[in-house]
Amino acid sequence: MVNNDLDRIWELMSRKLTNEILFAELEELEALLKLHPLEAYSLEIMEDFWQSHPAENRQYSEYKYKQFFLRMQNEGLISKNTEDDHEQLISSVDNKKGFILRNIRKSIIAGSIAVLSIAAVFIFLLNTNSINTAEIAPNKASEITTKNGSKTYLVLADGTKVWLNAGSKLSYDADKYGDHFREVSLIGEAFFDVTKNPEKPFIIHTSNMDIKVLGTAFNVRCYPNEKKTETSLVRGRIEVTLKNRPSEKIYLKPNEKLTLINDNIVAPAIANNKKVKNLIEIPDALVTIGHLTHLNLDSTIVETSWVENKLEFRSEAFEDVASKMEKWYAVKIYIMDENLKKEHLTGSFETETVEQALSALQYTTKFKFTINKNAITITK
Amino acid sequence: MLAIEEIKDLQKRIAVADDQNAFGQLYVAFMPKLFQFAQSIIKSKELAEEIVSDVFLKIWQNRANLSNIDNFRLYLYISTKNTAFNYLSRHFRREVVSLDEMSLSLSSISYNPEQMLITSEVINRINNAIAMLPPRCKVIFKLVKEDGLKYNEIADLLNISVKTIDSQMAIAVKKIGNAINFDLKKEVKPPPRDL
Repeated sequence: MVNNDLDRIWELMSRKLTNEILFAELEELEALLKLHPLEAYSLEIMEDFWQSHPAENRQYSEYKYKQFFLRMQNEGLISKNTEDDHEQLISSVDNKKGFILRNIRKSIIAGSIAVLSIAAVFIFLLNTNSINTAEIAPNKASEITTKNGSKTYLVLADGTKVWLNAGSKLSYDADKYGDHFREVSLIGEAFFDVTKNPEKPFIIHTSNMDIKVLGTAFNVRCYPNEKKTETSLVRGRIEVTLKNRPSEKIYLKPNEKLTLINDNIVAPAIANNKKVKNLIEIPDALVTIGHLTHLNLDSTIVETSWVENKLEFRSEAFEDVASKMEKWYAVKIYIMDENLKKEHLTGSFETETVEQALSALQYTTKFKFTINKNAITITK
Repeated sequence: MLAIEEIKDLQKRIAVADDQNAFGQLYVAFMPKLFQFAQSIIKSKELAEEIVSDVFLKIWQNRANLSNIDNFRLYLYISTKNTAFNYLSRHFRREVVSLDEMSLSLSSISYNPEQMLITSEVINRINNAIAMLPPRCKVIFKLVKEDGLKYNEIADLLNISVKTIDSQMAIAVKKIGNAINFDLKKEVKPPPRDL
């Protein structure tokens, strides 16, 4: 019985890893893995391993191409005076930004699982730098702000839908905004469902990046007190330009998320963290592209779950969870124990009170909490 | 690995515009994998290199007809296989090589353990498990994982059924999974559970 289960698990796992799995099989696998936690864990490791590839030796294949090119010339297949073209290829392979970015993306996707788990660790490092809000025409600007504990939904003049999460601010020029001018500024977190308009891209300014889209649905999280800016793409295609690197464009595909950690200080900490890989270090910022986090293999995406009035987190550090809960419940949470801050939690809440939510989390992680009005203290 | 759209793009540029840069990119991207594949059949480094060069030469010579090819990536592998079989009959008076006779060694994953979720010990265990796979299983596993081919493409390439590939992959994943679990059972670290 158990052995049959296991064999079926390996079979379904191999199909999952190779993307040859059917939806019904995916559900079956999920159910089986609930009964076999050890195999569930080994699947996670295997998915990580699956995304890792032996380093490509580009120098070797480029050297081989040089030899091959000479052979083609000798056989008269390519005329001798096109040697420049060949040189051009090598240099275009070396320098072309698109090419490099693709490679970065590749290696980053490889590290998505690892990145997700560490990314969480950095969410709540307080940002001591002052954040410049994106410039907006001062007099005609329209501002929508939400307090902690409240969310709002609005439809802009062009039909673009915006869900604004707690403690956030969306500003735009109310007079100008329309089919011919589609620019907004964001502090905090919002989910955008942008009306398609190939002629006029929709642009979101945040303190450290600009996001340009044609028509798509995606989430932006850029709270000033959090170290990270996150852009999660659900469908469509978006183009991101970092403020400190205006010439470089990063393209996101559906189901990918871009994370920017905007402080040098975190770099050494990352180098020491065993769970980190494939972080791209660029001046003043760390950029990663990872995958969105799916909860329980169903359609719930952790990054956008707040839109559906759900507070979701999956294996996120307690301090990051606390940050989310603070905004969700409009409370202040103080974690008094350093080890507890790094403890990973998984949870999903809809109508629960903060007390109920914390009590539920106590089932998996040992901690105590005391609530005093809006302040919650968490101790070992 | 190039994405399907990138391969399509290169294919079009070579076919329509005689684009040598595109051809170079295609070569650089596919040469190592096609070389490994050829070597698994012919078991000679020099001949495998020659085979891959022949394949690319033919592609350049017949570039005008490239637009008609539906699955260019699979075409590259099938051309490599056919050319390798031609070499076999020319050099060794043999027509074909069976799947069980094919041999290859996968490049070990040896990334920096400092940057990994898994420990170097687990990586070694995984690499060993892969190295010990039976030949047929290993060839299929390599084409799936490292070359990124789909089951139906491999079925076409190796003249085997998708079902065979599926069961061979299950064997490979089971062996790797057991190698990982072996380590886990030792450490007994329960995974985080959902609420």
